[in-house]
Amino acid sequence: MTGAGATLFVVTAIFAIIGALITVAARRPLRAAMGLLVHIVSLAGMFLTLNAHLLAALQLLVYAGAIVVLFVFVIMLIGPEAETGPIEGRLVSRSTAGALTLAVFLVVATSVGGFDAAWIAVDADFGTVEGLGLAIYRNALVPFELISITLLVAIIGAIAIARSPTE
Amino acid sequence: MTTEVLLLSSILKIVFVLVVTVGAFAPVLIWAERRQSAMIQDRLGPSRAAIVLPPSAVAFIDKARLPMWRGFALTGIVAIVALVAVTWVAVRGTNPLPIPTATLTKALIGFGAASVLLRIGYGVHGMIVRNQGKVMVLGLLHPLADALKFIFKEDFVPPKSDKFLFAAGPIIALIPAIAAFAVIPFASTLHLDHWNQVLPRTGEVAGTIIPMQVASLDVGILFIFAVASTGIIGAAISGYASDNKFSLLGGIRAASQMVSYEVVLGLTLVPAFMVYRSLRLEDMAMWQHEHSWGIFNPLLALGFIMFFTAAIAETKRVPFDLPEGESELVGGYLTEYSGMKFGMFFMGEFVEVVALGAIAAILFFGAWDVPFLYRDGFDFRLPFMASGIVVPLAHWIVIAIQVLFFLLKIVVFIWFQLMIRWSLPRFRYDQLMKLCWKGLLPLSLLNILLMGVFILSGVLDKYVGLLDRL
Amino acid sequence: MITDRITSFLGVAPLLLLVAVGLSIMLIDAFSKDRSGLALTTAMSLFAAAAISGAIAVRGDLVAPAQITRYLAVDQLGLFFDVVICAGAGLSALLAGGYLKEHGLERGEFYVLLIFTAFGAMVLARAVDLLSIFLGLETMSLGAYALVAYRRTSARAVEGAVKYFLLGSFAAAILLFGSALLYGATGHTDLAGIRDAVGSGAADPVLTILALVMILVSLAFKVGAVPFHMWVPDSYEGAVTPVTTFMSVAVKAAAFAVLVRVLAGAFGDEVSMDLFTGWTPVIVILAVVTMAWGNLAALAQSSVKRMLAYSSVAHAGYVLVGLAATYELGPTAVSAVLYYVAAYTVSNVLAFGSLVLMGSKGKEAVSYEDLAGAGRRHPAAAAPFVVGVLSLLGMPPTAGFFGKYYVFSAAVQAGMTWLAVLGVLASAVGAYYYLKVIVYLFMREPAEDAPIAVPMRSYYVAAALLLSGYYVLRMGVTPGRYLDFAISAATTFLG
Repeated sequence: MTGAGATLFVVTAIFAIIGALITVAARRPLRAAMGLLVHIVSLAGMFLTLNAHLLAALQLLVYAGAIVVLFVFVIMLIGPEAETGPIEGRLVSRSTAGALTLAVFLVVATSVGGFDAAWIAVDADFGTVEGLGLAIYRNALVPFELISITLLVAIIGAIAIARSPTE
Repeated sequence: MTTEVLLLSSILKIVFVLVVTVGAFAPVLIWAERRQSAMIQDRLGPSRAAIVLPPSAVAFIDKARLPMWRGFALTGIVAIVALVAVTWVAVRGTNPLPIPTATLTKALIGFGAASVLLRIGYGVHGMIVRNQGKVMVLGLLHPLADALKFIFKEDFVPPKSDKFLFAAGPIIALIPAIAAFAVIPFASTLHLDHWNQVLPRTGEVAGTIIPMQVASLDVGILFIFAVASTGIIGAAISGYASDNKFSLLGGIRAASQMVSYEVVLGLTLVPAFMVYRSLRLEDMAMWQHEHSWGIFNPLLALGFIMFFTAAIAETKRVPFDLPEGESELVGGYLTEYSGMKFGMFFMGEFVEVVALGAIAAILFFGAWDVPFLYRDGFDFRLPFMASGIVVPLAHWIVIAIQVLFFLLKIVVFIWFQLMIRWSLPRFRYDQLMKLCWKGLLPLSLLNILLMGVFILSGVLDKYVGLLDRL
Repeated sequence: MITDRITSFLGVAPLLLLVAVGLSIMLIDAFSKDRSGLALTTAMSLFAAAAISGAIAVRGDLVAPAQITRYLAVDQLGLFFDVVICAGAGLSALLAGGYLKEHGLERGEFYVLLIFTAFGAMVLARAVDLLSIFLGLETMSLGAYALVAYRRTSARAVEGAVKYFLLGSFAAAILLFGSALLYGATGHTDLAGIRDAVGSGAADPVLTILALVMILVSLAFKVGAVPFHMWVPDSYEGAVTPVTTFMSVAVKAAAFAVLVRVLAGAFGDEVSMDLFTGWTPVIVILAVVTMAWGNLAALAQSSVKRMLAYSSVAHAGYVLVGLAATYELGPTAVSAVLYYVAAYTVSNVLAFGSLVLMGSKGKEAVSYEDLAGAGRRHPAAAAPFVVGVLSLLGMPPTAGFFGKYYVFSAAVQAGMTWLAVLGVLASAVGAYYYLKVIVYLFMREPAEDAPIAVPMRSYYVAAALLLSGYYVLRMGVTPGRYLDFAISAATTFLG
């Protein structure tokens, strides 16, 4: 990766990290949602550096357009007052969680750091609509159909729980 | 292609898009809409903003009127003569005149246009004189006054609001609307090296090729959906950040309405993708140029009606303007906005109207395709005629006609949207949701299914072939 | 030509059947007010799916296009679990037909959710790719969350569902994280590829271990093994009893299936299974803790439903004993696990079904007190309960006896006699609370002003009890046929 690609990667990476930090650290829930939005848009930019245009568009469409909107929507419905105080928790559990996280991070970082793999040339249709379409509807048809069932179950379940008891 | 040409053409294209959308269409739209509302309510409307010319200029204009009238009459006569000659040649089939047919046609177009322009100039000059030097341009200066007002008005920020989000809202709402134009093709590809030659009708042409759109993305229309979907957040967070119950309710309404209709918006277009076999807008335009406009396909026509309904709902305009329904919510999420921030929402809405017109024109009405216009010029040939009237045109003229026609189509759709805006009453909220989830959504899914059946059974191919022969 | 095409899908016919039935029931429910036939339709189609699976397994028509077998195995093991899951779900549907009608809760969504959850469980049991494992798990779990919260006017149901949902989401996230790491370590998402990479040492060992730990944690959660069992008592108690039944049999069976596929399949090489450095000691510890805690906690319960919830935790421990023996015995241990799961399925349906039978409208039997004296007044209704708890306890001549026998003998053969002894001791503790049910049924009288249990009258529940009772005894008297099926499933899987 050279030139414009590298620059774009660095910029989007920085924004992605900033967005993620805002998401976690912001006190107001809506600002956290906005941090998530920044993060997601940056990720879409990163997909662009990987030549995955369709994935970038879908990232925006699904995550920025649907999921963040849903978050914002829920925050607005619950009300702007629903701000959380500092998280309660015992020192032991918090430090254990922190140590575990650190350990996992270190393990992954050392393993990935020593990772040595050859670059693989991608196909010409990599990242294109045709390429992704073939991948989804021909090679990975079974998982695709399974996902549709998963979503169907989620919808039915949500309706079953939310439907008014009188019906 | 050299990098300089690429860069220059890109910049030119971006400037063109901005000028057309933000610079020209949006202000004209603001004017047209206010004008129309004034007509309906029998008011004077936005027509009083004027530039006052000095008396000397008025006197000069008065003097220039007579020459203009003469010019109009002269050019008009020549144009009529040319018209008669062309018609005669066309009916006769051969051209016994010493002047070639192409020259005659060019004369007809050139002199006709000149005479119309001169007549308009004559009328306008007369109006200026009658108004004692006040140039009002049909009230078109009013948007300019509006813009000045927006800029200089106090930028009120509610004291307890979330200032950052309050400021970010309008920006998030405006940018996606403009960004959508990045992938819209205004004409077929421009062959820069042969710009003043007549190109062959088909086949590859060597040399530099400049696509007449800012960015040719593989994802095409999905890009528009992707950026448009982020626009929802703008409305939602400005409703939240205003620290006002009406704003909040308006924001919630906006978010739920737009999220709901976005689903339908995408699904109604799927049959079109199935026919054109591409998501690229330029491919869709080319398909329609080579075959027939999408609207002549019955299923796509149904898709168009549903798409247009959903798209108007997506722009949150009457009859779907519940997020800002003034009888219930004061101004919805716009309530607390003033000055340029309000102006940005306003602008965003109108740019969306233009974008919608452009998308509808591209997907269903042939984009830049002009009937009988090919890459080598006009060829008026009807099915019952043995050979058509061929008017070879230089490449740049063909492109210019395509751009003009495309803009004309956009104007038609904008007019259509304005008509809808002033004709239909507002929906009730449950009707709005019912229309989306119980009406448009199942219907659009059915449409996809039917289109799939047609394609797989080969009916579509036969139908397209039939249209091709016509 | 077209028949060839159809028969090429025979290996996944049960799955396709369930999807078709689920979608049809949705449509029927949307356009018809009559819900009386839904339970029977659901149960019949689930039994049909079980029968088809059994028939395919017997005939050996293990065919499916490669695009399917890449993600979903079409093998004897999958078919075995198809039979178990479909039978468990079908029996639960029968119970629901009686229970929901009696308590005025009948709605069409229930059966749709039941069918799709069973579908998810079957997908999970057949999954041979990390992708399909996750999708099967999510389909199953989402359906199960909704089923637990089905009676949403009840605070307990909502509490159980929320706990289950939150912890389940964490488990799913951990599984996903583990899968990502495993893919990073091995470069494969399919279990066969992972097996090759792990076995040949090509995989990054540290990442692999981390990934395996995470996958184990999330699967232990789904199985309900201690210390990941916290959700079990609350959600089992909060859910309507047919759902509890379904979760304790079908959901658990699917979780064990994927545990077998991942541990004995993908990590089935010598090094990964090693008694000191592999996953075997982890499973042993899990088994010991689960058996001990499940049985001890079940002792302290005053609610029969809650007791059965803890008992299901304890049973997960027994199954883990069998799994722990895999490193030495291979197919024999796996077949013991399979047989145990099957035996546990019918026994648990019998126990829960009897609990359903003991209550009627407004008087649902939950605690021991509710059962007091019911056996003497209604001996016919109490009989299945006795058989059920005896089978759970592991008394001959019931299915539970052979289940425990195979599992513990596998442990002994694998050289873990102490583990088998611990298991028997734990079962002995279990005898106390299982027999307590019988004591209350026949030897106690209800308190003065306490309501007296009135069994419900329902052909559905009766049918479920007769069926499961028949199989409890059948598998307890002539276990050969079922054990053969389990052995052939295990052998073809590992061989």
